[in-house]
Amino acid sequence: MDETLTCERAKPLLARLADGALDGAARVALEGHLAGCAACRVEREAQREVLTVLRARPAAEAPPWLAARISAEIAAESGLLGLADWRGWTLRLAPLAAGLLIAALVWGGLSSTSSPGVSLSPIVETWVMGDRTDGLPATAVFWQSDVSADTLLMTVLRSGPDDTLEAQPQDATK
Amino acid sequence: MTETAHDDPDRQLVQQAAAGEREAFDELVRRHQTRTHNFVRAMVSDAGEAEDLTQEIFIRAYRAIGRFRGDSAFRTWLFRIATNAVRTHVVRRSRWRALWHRSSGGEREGDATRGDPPSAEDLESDIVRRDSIDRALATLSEDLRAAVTLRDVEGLEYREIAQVLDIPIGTVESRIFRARQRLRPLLEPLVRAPAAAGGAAGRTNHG
Ligand SMILES: [Zn+2]
Repeated sequence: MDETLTCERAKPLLARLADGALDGAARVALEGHLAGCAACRVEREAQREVLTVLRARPAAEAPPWLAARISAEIAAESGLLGLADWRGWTLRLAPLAAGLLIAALVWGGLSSTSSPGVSLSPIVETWVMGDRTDGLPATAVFWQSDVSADTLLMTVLRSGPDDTLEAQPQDATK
Repeated sequence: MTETAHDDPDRQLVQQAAAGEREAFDELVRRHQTRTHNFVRAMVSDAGEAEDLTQEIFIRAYRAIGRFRGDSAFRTWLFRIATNAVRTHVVRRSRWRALWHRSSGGEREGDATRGDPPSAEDLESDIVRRDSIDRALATLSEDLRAAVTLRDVEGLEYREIAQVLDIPIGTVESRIFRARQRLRPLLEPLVRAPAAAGGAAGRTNHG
């Protein structure tokens, strides 16, 4: 550190000296400067006075209910994240789930007519081969990025796999 | 004492919280809420805003904790989130106020210098003292206010403040110097009427 300090260079160091966070050569140099500079001694005193007042500022305690409010907010949020996870899984598993559902329906239908033949229904065929873009099955709701959770659930609960989305209200829950 | 990542007393809780244990995060909130709230309150000087911002800061921290690398203490990292949240809030608020006060021609900054100064008797009250200090802090630019609050109100080391604000340590020094210089005349009544013994916030780890 330079032996001779200008006032300009001394000032930031005065902040540190005033609150006791300056040691070593920098401190020696600064004290040398202060010995011969009344203006900087006044500045040091002003720095001390302000930090003394600020350190004694009575702390504003967080209100007692705040931690509980934060915890509840986070619980609600991780509930939503949980739903997002569930939806992520559903996205990956939807074709399989839909296939199983349809297979079960087909199997039920076949059993009731007691026909032993095993063949894919046209719906499953279309689903798996997946070229059809119009009249998507209701399960396609899973592919929409901005559908609400309620719509998602109601779709699952209300629709058969071959229902189309045309009659779905646009986010009726909001 | 500046905490490094290794002697961070929150390290284990942070790892548990990052692994999805909400109880661990709740404990981090309990440990840090007073410090965080007090900092935010000094930065925005409004009780309701400070509570909402404190909540927002912890929620941001919760969302990001999986990405916390541990290259600083949790406390330092949380202060980074806090200063960013405060900055966003202050910008938003000042835009709103600029819009709102344009017709009435009012500008609220600088109120600390108007009106009757509190009497020496009033200054014995903790709330009045704190309010006077916060009004003085409110006259500073957000940059100067953050630096001096982190140092003199929260008691962080210069090096840690440089980390929190992401600026060189020389800039921290000069901001603190200038902030105190500007505060000095505004705090005149408080300099003359020192806090009653025991009225201080009781932090001892300065310097
Ligand atoms: Zn000088």
